Amino acid sequence: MSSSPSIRTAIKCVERADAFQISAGNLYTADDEWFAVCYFYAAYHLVRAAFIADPVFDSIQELAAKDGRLVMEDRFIERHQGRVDGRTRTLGVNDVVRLLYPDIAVEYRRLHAASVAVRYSEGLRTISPDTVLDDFNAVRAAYDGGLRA
Amino acid sequence: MQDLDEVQVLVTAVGEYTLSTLGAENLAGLRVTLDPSEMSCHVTVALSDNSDDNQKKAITSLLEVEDIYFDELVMGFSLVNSLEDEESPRASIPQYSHA
Repeated sequence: MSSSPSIRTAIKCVERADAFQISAGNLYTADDEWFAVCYFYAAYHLVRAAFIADPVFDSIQELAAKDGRLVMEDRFIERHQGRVDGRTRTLGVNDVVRLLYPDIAVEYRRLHAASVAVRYSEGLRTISPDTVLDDFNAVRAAYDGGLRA
Repeated sequence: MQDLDEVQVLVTAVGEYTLSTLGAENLAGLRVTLDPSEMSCHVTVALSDNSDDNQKKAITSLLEVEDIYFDELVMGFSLVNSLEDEESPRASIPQYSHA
């Protein structure tokens, strides 16, 4: 992740998600595989907006009851993957999605894999464009439906 | 960081458990690599059938594997048509493969 300050309000996260979703649609229409990157980052900002607004983070007890690996600071988590540092295992956005919103965890992780394939590997050879679109729509529908732990 | 022998044992265990979870009959190939400096693991999966439903089942299984090794590793994955679709890891990197 960049060391530059990132947005920390749900409203701003959704604004960025909406902008990325429009760009993704334009790139999809143009048959440019970078649409997958835009859809993934739109999904990333939507789940970060959900974390920030989720009342589960208002209570240590409620959070611990959900999963003992979660900590209050995860509300503002930014990096995609967690880290192992000695005996400490910190979470990433991928982990928090899986622990709090399991119904979209598979779709979110496949979107991440599609984005990584475009940016660092051979592109969208295995994950189809329609799959990327379906996965994003699943995350978007969950968020618009009031995504909560 | 663990010594390299321990890391190789760990990556082999992750690979064999992943293979049994996904089912060898569903795979065209599987490779697991582990970066001991960060204890980050990457699983490359080539499914025999890359239909949407089959990919979802595989990812569900991978998330279960990730949970088993949660305290020890950070895990990422990629879906490929063939292991040859990705650059081969350097021989010095602890790895497990099934083809």
